[in-house]
Amino acid sequence: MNLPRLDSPLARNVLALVALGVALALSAVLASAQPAQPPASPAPAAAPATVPPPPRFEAIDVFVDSANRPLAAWQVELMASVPGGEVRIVGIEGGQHPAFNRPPYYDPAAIAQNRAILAALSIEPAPNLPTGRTRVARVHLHITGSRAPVAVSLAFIDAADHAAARFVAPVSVQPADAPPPENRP
Amino acid sequence: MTTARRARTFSAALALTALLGAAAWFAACETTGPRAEKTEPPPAAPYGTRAPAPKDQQAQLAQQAATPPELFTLQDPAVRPGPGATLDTNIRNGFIDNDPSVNERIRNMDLGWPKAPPEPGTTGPAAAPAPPGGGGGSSGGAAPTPPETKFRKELPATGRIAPPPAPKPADPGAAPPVAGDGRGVAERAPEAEQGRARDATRRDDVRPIRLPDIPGSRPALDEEIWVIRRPDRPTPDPARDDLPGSGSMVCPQPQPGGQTRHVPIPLKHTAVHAAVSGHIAAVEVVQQYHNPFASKIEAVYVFPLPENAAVSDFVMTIGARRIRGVIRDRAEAEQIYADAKAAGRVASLMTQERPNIFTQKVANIEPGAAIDVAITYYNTLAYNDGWFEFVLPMVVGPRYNPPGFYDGIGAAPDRGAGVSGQPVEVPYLRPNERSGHDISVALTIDGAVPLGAIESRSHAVNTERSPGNPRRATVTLSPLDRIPNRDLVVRWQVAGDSVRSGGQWVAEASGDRFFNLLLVPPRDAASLPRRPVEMVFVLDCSGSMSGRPIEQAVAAAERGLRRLQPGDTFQVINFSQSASQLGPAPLAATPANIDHAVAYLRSLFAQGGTEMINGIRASLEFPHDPQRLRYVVFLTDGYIGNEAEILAAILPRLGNARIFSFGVGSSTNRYLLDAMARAGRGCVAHVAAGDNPVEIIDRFFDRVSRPAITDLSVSVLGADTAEIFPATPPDLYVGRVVSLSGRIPAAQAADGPVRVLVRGSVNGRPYQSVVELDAAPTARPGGPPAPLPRIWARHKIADLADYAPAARAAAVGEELKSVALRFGLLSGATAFIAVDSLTQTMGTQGTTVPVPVPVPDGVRYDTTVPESAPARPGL
Repeated sequence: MNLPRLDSPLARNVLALVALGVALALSAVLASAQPAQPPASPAPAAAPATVPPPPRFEAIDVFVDSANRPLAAWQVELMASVPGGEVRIVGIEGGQHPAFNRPPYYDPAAIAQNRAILAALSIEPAPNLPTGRTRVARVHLHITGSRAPVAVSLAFIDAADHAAARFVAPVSVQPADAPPPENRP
Repeated sequence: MTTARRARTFSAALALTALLGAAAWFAACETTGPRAEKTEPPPAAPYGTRAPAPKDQQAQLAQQAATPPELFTLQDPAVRPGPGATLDTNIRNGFIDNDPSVNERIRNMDLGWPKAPPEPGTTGPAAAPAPPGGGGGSSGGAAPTPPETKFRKELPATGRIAPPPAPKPADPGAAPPVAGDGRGVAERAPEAEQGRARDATRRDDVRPIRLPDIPGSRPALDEEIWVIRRPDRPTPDPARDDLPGSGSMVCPQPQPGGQTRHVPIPLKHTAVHAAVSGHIAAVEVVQQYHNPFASKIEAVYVFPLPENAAVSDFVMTIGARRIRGVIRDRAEAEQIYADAKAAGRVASLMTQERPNIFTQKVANIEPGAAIDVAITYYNTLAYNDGWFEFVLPMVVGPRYNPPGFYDGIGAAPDRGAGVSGQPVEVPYLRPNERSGHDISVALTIDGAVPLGAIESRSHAVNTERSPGNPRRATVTLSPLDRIPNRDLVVRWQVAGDSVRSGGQWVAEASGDRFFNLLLVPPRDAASLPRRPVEMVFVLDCSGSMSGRPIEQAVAAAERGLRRLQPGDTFQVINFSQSASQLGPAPLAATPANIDHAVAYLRSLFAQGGTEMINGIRASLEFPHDPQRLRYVVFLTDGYIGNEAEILAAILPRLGNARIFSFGVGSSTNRYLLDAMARAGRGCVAHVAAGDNPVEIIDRFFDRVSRPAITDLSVSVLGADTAEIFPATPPDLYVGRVVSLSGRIPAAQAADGPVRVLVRGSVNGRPYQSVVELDAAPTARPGGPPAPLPRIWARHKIADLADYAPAARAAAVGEELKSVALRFGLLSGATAFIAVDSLTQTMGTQGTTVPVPVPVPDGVRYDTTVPESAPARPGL
């Protein structure tokens, strides 16, 4: 293929156009690849150390694993803490299984010391009771003075089946998920 | 192809490439700027709340209206957009800027809003003259009305937001309201409209807000206010503007002809389920809140419970989820509630203002949402003259607070918040207003002995006795009598000799034992003669007693005078703003003196405030007659806010006198009346609207005509450290029982039954008996708590709160809080808090909407509820 000479005016114009097009295309690619940045502004000053973080609310789920035994009654002790701040229990919700979807009762004397001794029982017959790992409670927390994650300790106290036979069951906690939309107000 | 042609073709290709590159660059410039808005549009703000202006709108405003730097900033509290005012009306009314040139610039701005067609008789917004003195959208029909603000023509200065819209019958495609997705208007629109409403960044969707005139909804200074344009929808039928979806404002003004006006409130229904076992009631009260307005609200309800209610459980229900509230120090609970409210969490807080008055707050109720709050309490029932009595107060009567007293319970007209100047305020509906709030009651009686007659003189009830079990019955409130404007009183009779002294005890896990004891006077006490008495009748003649109550009080006092015996003396005192009396000293109970006193009584009328302290002083401070027992009989509704001041005034003046309080009215202050009688070691009776005062005063005289067991003391055998309340038991009169609660510490809780030693004096002779208590079933772990410990704790709290010396106030306060926290009880120092920390509502904190209540049946609105604030010294 015969191309114009590089030193010809036409070639120079062509090269200039090519360079402009490439530059424009590159800038377009670069611009589209990066999200828009707000106008340059001074970086926000770091919050003074004395300003506490705003209070926040979290919820944790409490599970009891009764293996293959029907769970008719349970009792656990829960403590929540956060380094440098305070955690207060501000609500106790029931579990997922119909036998335990009423909120469990708590020991008010323990709550005053930010411990929660939770317990619930169900008088349903064995087929209507949960087996395996089931969420039995959800504990709502109010956290102040710290941005650190909440540390939770959970201790098993008691569990019984439909025949009032006691047994030991593993217990666990995990952060709660948001409820499904149908359960929202 | 020639070289030149090839070169031209190549050049054209390169030029095309350059053009494409330039086009891509420009396209990138367009997409990179508002990328965030396009991919993640900001949530639409709820209708009636503040939303940020789109960037292009802000730029245009900045360019075209640089002179008024804050287009919607409210500079002066006196210059605020009126309710329902649009931009034009605000400009016309001078709310935005008083400079005509600025107004003109703003008016001429092209913001891309759809132009409202001029209404008949107007030539468009710019041409419409401002009505003289017009303050907002409610100023007559001169202002033009854009289609989307059609309801503005109904806006009064004190109006209410109408219920949310409902699909019109002609619009079958309209979706039902979606509960609480936080998008204000959008959640009520059909799906197609929701899509438009969510596209909040479109410039033509932005309109200045028309403020919802929920009380307290006015914006703060320097707030910038925008609103997402109301979706296009068919104009509601003006004839049906009281229905959801009409967008009308309800204006509860007095109606010609006295028609009743419906007032929408956030409390829809109260359901009460009570179970009585023996003489202890376990009661669940479910308050059903909802949001009938178009923007998010906080509901605040001041309501009564029995003065001896041990409130020990609190559950908030959101949809299918139930969250049990937690008892906390009151200040701590209030702070948590404030944090939750600010964070958009649904939360509820219950506080005690008086032992019989409580405040329920529910934060962040989204439009159309429903939230239930269930309260459980235990209390002991009164037993008088063979009848047990279950009382459910339904409304707080309007309280009087003395000048200079600012810690009371205030009365205010609906939408008149702040009128009373008190920290807790009860808004009252005007006489021609009604709310939709009603109440249902189901009471199950499981008596220890067979039930006799069952009746209610206060309400229409349906009674169903249990077949085959004469001890059981169910009483329900008639559907025809569900307006909560007076106390429900249900009484049932038991055979006179079937009730004996006795009680129950229960052991807690801690090892402590708790018991409740009913003391019944011995039968042979009725045959003994009584000593002469000095009877002092004290009548409340304040404005709240106007009408039927003062008539009943006068009738009762007159009957009491006629029942006096030779050898007795008497005095008649009346008080309102001040106190006056029949004579300087008690008179002998001669027929002539009694006739004179009756004439004096009949001249009394009700007017003015309730300065009860004057009545207390006048009745207790004159010299005591050592030959006679002084019986002071108060006839009052007890509608005061300074109860503590009154109770503190009784003890130092009491001496050997006895105080008997007669509550007169349909919804009296039972806490004050009961506490006065307890302080005065007397007893209390009530004359309700349907009661015969003569019959009740006759029963009273039958009671005081017999000698009581005085100087009563109670102890537990083998447990001398037992705490028993009331610490000073009242005298024991024939026909009346006394209820006591005790706690035996674990260290002294021996095996076996609990035995109580009762000592006293009957006409100067010593009296002694031993009562053995029965064991009650213990509470199971995971089940509801046992009532006896809670009832004991409630008695102790009442004793500490009402009768502790002022010098020990700080220590008593700590002790009271400690008891309340240990037993999980609501008190003046503790509160219940429940927060849903998983879901978060959108927008601002919403508007606080108090729940207005009717004045109690028989109480006049005009003499008890101030329409304007009294002058407050120093302010």
